[in-house]
Amino acid sequence: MNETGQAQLNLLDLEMLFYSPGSDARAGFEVLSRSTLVYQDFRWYDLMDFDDSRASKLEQCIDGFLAYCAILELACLSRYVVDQDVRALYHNLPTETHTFVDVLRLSPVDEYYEHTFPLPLVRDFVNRMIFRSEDTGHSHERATRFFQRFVAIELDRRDNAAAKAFFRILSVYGPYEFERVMRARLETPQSLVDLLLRPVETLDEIESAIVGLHDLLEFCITYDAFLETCKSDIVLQRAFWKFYSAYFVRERMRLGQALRSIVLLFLRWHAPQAIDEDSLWDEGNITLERVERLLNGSYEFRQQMEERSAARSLTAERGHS
Amino acid sequence: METHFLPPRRIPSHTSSYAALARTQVSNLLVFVHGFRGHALQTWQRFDELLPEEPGCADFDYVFYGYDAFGSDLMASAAAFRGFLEILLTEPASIWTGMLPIQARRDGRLYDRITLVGHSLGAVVIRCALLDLAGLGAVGLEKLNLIFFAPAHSGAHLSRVLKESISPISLLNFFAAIVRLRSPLIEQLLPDSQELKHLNQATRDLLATGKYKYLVAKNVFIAKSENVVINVPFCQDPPAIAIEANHMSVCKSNDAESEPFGHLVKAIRTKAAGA
Repeated sequence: MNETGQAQLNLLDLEMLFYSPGSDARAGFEVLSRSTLVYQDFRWYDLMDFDDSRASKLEQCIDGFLAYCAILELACLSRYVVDQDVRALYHNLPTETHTFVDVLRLSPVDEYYEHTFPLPLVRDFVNRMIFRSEDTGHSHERATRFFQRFVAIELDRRDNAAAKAFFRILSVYGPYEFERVMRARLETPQSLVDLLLRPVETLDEIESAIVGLHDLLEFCITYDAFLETCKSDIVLQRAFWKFYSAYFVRERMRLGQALRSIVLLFLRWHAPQAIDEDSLWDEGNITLERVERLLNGSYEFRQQMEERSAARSLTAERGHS
Repeated sequence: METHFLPPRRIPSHTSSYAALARTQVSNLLVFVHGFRGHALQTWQRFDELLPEEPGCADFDYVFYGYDAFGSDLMASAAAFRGFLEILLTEPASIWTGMLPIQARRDGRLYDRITLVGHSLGAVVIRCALLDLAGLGAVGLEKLNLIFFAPAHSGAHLSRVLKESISPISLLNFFAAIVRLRSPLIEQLLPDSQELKHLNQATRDLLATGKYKYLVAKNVFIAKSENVVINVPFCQDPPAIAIEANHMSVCKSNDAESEPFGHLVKAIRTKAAGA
């Protein structure tokens, strides 16, 4: 199979993983696409005129569709797929058919991914489809490996029911009340390990949320390590961070507080005598630093952006003087 | 050139398991079975990335079988694996439903060769499942090969496993020394357990008939710094090869030069040449 055939198969594989019939992403596109036919002047409340649970499901589907567009942008940027294949599948369609871009350019949808729940990769995707920016990809084998690693992490995150339970509980209790409840349940390392070893289906809602918080901490550490491995390609590193940036930025306060609280809880436990207390605290601080770094996006790409910005300011100042 | 659909994806009918499937239909299958408290993929660190890139290893499908290797009874785990293996032997395409783009879907052809690779408890699960299949007169068993890393078939002190890792969060591992384990497997894998005595005797009986050669492992790799399993040879298995590793690292690789990976590749290439 030649490279063109490989890239096409990659795209079909991505579609199967993230945009298969019956998936949230496809339902999200279909509902938005239908709405443009029904409503001349499309508004959210045209879609939201039903009960909360359906509205929540709708939001989940629209988020799924937008996430798929962002994944396609990452795939193009990594040269895992070829822009023209993506256009052929989702953009260069008969005029009577709605394309991804048609839906993404509806002003309420645009408003949603620009401001309500910012997902900057979707804007990049729209531009890529319209302006044919073929040369913005990164053609090297490592980029493909980075992208595949990203897909593995994202698939695992999607499958994690406990992490979803954590966010449900967090929105009910808030970070401080959740921390109090968690402390009451986790008096010793044994109590946490017992929870982690039990099948998820035997856990009550609070227990699931605690396991979810543990899993989320694990996700943060995994994703931080992943971004570190991408530092040789800061364009990709930045794009991979941006995929979750809305999530990190929107949830920074609550999430940061909850993640800090579980790490501090570990540090309050009595360490076995054989363990040096200093090593324990060092490890705790390293863990917290990694979480902070991920939530703030303090990676090489940020540093380079700041350096460029400083250089531009300096040039501008010199120009004025 | 990409040879497999990566990353490995969950098998819809066995959601703890993953598969890295070749882009074209192949006739060889490698099935990895993890050990106590293991994980389908993480136990075999980087094998899923490295194997498809290795010359001579492209014409394999790779399955990373997952199961509850803490709370479940040994025989129950073996029975579940037996069921999975029966499908792989008789109608493999049904397992891959929903895992491949239409353009890469498989037809009903069976695998010519299936290699089962077990670590620690995984080796015992594989052996128990094969005993059952032999007893049931299942077809196609002669196409099976066995490769084991630090197998627990001669007994193990599993409580020591957790001392090495209770969580991927390294901060939590500081507390491993004071955590108690409550798993039925700890007793079931003690060297004189009823389960292991039965496994040993039943295997001997079958081998004595002169049939069932597939019950003998083709390769056994053991760790030089072993403190969990008893390294007494099992029935007619060949002499083990020692790897510079401990019980947990004996089945992990950092790169293609790592010893465990090199041994596995050599073993499967040898068999491919002989097939």
